[in-house]
Amino acid sequence: MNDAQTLFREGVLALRERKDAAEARRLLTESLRIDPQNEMAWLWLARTISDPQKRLQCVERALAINPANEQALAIKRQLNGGAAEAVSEKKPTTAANRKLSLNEEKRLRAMLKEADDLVEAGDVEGAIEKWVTVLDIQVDHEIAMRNAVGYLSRLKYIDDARELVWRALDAGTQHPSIYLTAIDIARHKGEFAEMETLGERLVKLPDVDDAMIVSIVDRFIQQEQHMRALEILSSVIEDHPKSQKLLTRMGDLHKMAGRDAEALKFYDRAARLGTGTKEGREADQKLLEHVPASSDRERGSVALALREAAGIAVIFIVLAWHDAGLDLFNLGLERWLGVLLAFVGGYLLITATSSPQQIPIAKWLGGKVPENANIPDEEDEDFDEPIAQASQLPIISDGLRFVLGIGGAGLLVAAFALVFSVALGLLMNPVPPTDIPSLDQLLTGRWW
Amino acid sequence: MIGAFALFLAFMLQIVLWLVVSSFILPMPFSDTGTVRYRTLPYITIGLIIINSLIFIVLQAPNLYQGLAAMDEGDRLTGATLLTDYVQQVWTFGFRTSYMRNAISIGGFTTFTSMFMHADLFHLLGNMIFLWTFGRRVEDACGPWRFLLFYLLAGMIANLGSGVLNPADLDRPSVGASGAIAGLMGAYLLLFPGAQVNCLWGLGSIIRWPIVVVAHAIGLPKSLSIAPMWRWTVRIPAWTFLFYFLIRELLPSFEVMQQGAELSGVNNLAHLVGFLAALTIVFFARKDLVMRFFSGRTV
Repeated sequence: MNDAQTLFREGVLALRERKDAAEARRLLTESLRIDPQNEMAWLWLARTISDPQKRLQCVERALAINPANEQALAIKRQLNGGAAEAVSEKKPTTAANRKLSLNEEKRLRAMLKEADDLVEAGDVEGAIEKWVTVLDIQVDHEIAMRNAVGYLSRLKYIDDARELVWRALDAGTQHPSIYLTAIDIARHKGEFAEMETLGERLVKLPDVDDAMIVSIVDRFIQQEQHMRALEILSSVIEDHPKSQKLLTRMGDLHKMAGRDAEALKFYDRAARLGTGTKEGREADQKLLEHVPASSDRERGSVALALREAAGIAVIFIVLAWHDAGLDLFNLGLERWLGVLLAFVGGYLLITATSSPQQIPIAKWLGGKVPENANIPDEEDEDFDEPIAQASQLPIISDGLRFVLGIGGAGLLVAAFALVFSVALGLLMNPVPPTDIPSLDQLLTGRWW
Repeated sequence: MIGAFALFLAFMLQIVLWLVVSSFILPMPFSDTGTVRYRTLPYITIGLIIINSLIFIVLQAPNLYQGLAAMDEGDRLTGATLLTDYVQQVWTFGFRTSYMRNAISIGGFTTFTSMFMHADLFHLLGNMIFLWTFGRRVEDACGPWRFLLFYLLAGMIANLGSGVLNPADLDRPSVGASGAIAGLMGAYLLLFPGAQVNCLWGLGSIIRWPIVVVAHAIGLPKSLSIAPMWRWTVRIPAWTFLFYFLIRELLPSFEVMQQGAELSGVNNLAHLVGFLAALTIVFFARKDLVMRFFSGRTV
């Protein structure tokens, strides 16, 4: 046994037993440097590489040595049909999506029943034959695939199981479960690059659910490929805009990358969809750790600004109520006018100070979107307002805000003079109370 | 010098004794466990505590305590003069319905002046502890200026309610920040029912001790089995404390509303109405928080 063979064997062991792709790649590369004519070493090296182009180069080196190498041909076929082409865009082949005739369906059901009977009778190999026959008719029949692959794996015929799965994949199956099976087989065989490729194809399937996408993304996270996970999630998130699970995981990934503001947006989107679900609550809890994000909808809302003005009007009603001798039904026209002025003045003041981005008002007053979109500074510790998301809302100019603010304050002063006129008169000329009890009266009586 | 130091010590001892006694049977909250999410320094809460304290210490306490000390020393003339001044302050600037109905004193302005006056030191201390405990997060939820408006509105509504809803119209002056603070407590209950408050509570600590001993012995529940055996403070859910406060105020308030009398020196009706004034927090809370509140999310 020469050095190249030893290195080759150790490389294969590193990948197969220890799942250590980096070490396997190093050993196999060393082996090929000594003996570049080892076609199997090229194929094993391909399994340690995630870049499809580089994998293809390895496979082609193996085929240059032995053009009839079936394994190399199969891998080449996968690579050409897989990574470069998104499954969702791939035209389904007739084999995977062919509409079965009633007779064929009947025949498949009968064969599945026979296979079940054979399993019960202990004839597993016979059952496998039946399932394989079913798969010959419908290449991605889920039940037949699950059973055939399951039993083949238990009997250690992994390569046969893999062949069945890949036949379905090559035929353009759209069943996520078959992709998951292929991923499990690839993991078992230490084919990490293949796992990644399959994962990327799986998340783009039309019928894939968000739990599957999260499980794929989590596998990338476990392998510390955060950017790859983020890319995959970004590519599918808009197809699942109401998936709290995906939005929350997206937030998690941004947080891991240290982009808290981005993370908050996704947590916020998830929580806004409702907190009745586990994911909604989780997103809501994660938001609690941060200064909340204020959305354009909130900042641009006229109703929310009017709400604050209504609060000021309520204060003035209560003031007027006091001033009218605690008789709400006798406020008089003057005080009601004061309340109205307070509402208008309050609204102007609020518009000038905290709500200069109300959409129709700002547009009407010639507001403009600031050139430097207000991306929040995450280092700023002195939070006076919620973190503002990058906004495209028009904002009223500073000069006009100043005028509105002064006008609003003036109206509030006038309103105060109207609603509290009696009290203001008394403040200028107080009327001393004449019924204050003496100390002796207080010490002997009950007044407190 | 030594005399002054002894007096100071006696004063501090009195405060500690008051804290121990008043927090033995019933819990006395002094902080909450919630997160302040927008800002770190509650300017207005601190400002209100300072203003309330200064008004009492500078304007009221000298007349009250020097007058009482003079009485104790047998100087009845000085004592009576000072105490009469104190009484006049309270009767002139406290909240009385007749001042509004008959345009006396400074009329409606007494609703504000009464909010910043207190009957004695322990009245002030109790109110300020509650203001500190519940004010910070409500201020955080509103922003400083809107919080101040809410505080004043709650205080005004508390005064108004205690005057209008009491059929007896005894017209006794009411002083203290408790109506406004009850509003803060109500707002706290609305916004942060899941928060927890740390309380000084002698009885609670004593009851807790055997429970923790058993938890340590059997290892369950896990949170208690690793907790310290003895704690001087007890943490209780905010909603239990605030509901307890509401119920405590509810019964005497109904009695006042029905019988038209104030049964004690405490204006429970003002507390109750102030607590209910918390509903107006919806006008003053931050925009994003209001939206979260109405969509059922944690604020």
